[in-house]
Amino acid sequence: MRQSSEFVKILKKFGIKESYAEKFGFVESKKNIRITSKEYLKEAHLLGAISGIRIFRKGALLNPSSNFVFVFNGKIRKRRIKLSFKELKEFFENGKLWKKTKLRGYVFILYQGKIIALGFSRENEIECFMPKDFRKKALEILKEEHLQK
Amino acid sequence: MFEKYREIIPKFDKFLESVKDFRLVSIRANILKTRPSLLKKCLEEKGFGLKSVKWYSSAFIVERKKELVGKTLEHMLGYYYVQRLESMIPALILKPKKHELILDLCAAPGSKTTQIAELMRNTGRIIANDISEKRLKALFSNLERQGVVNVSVTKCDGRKFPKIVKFRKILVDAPCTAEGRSFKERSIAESKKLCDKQYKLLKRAVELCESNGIVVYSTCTLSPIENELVISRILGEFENVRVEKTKVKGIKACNGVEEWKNMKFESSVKKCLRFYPHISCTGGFFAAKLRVR
Repeated sequence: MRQSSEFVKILKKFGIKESYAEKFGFVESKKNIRITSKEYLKEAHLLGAISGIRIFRKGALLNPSSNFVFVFNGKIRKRRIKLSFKELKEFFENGKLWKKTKLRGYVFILYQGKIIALGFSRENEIECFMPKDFRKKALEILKEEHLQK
Repeated sequence: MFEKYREIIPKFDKFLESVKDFRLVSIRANILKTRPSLLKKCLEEKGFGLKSVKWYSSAFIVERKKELVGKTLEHMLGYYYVQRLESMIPALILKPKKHELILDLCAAPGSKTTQIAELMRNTGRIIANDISEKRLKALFSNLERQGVVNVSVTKCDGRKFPKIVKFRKILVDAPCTAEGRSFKERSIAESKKLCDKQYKLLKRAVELCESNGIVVYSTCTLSPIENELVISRILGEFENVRVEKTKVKGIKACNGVEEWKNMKFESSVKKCLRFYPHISCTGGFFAAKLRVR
């Protein structure tokens, strides 16, 4: 069993304040790490409940899941890449975007001041790490909102 | 339509008039992610017309572009939840506080669960239970989108929920004929069919409640068989259960009914609350706050 401090450290890499991250508890299963509150975990365990929501996928390393976007939306201060409408459209449409950035690894996509997606940045491209359903729906909405402008 | 309720619904003709074109769309700001005033500004910039609700600062009635309110980036990112006004009432009656352990016995798809979680500021724990696999999927999806982490999900028949842990506060938003939401009249037989299930759910909730704890029972139906009769049966069976007088500040509600169609209920059911569109400006709803001594 890993220590919560290990997860807190990873959250810190994305600019999430330690004091904020330390409020949460982490539950480890075979494939995932789930984030939850720290209280009454024993009671939840007794009832055989699934606690919290998936925040890391286990692999050789711990990979952030797309739920990062929803849980830490306003708290992510680092590793952000701002995209224009055109870029974001391409990002969601193709599942990747050709764009040179200095950042390598997991990044968060910023659009109109909001964190909107999780991606993985390589040398010249950013790959989208959001579920297909989300991408499809987000694309429809973006186009609709752009048309109205 | 709804003729059988003429004797219990005040100003019945006005009620009939109001249900004809009752198309209220409302949203609840997710205070874990944004401030209601910021959300209002943001959506108004996108052309939506929002009207504040005086009895709940997180709630807004959508007056313009209501058909598009579920199709915005803010909605996708969980900044708000499209939720009927009356459905926001039980959580306000339950008054969840930070660091509490709460049971939501019929939780899916999670509108009330996420509201309670927000009121608890993602602390403490909510055990959210439902029997339906399909509905639980929707619950998980809503929890993720809203960024709610203090919820633990169980899948079991609420009538047989294990008596391992006791809770201080329990919400039973029971399955019902939903007359107050659809405004389609349902038969007495349909209500009677559900009544037993509702009674068993509430009975289990009472058994799971700590001494001096609270159980809030709610339905979105108008039928006294699914409302006052269920409460009355519980009061008859448990001596340690009382109906507590309650209100939501700023919203008009009617008292529970003591008799209907040759049925007499326990007199304290009048402390329950009934909400009607022409009186409360919400859909039809019923809520009762029970104190378990």
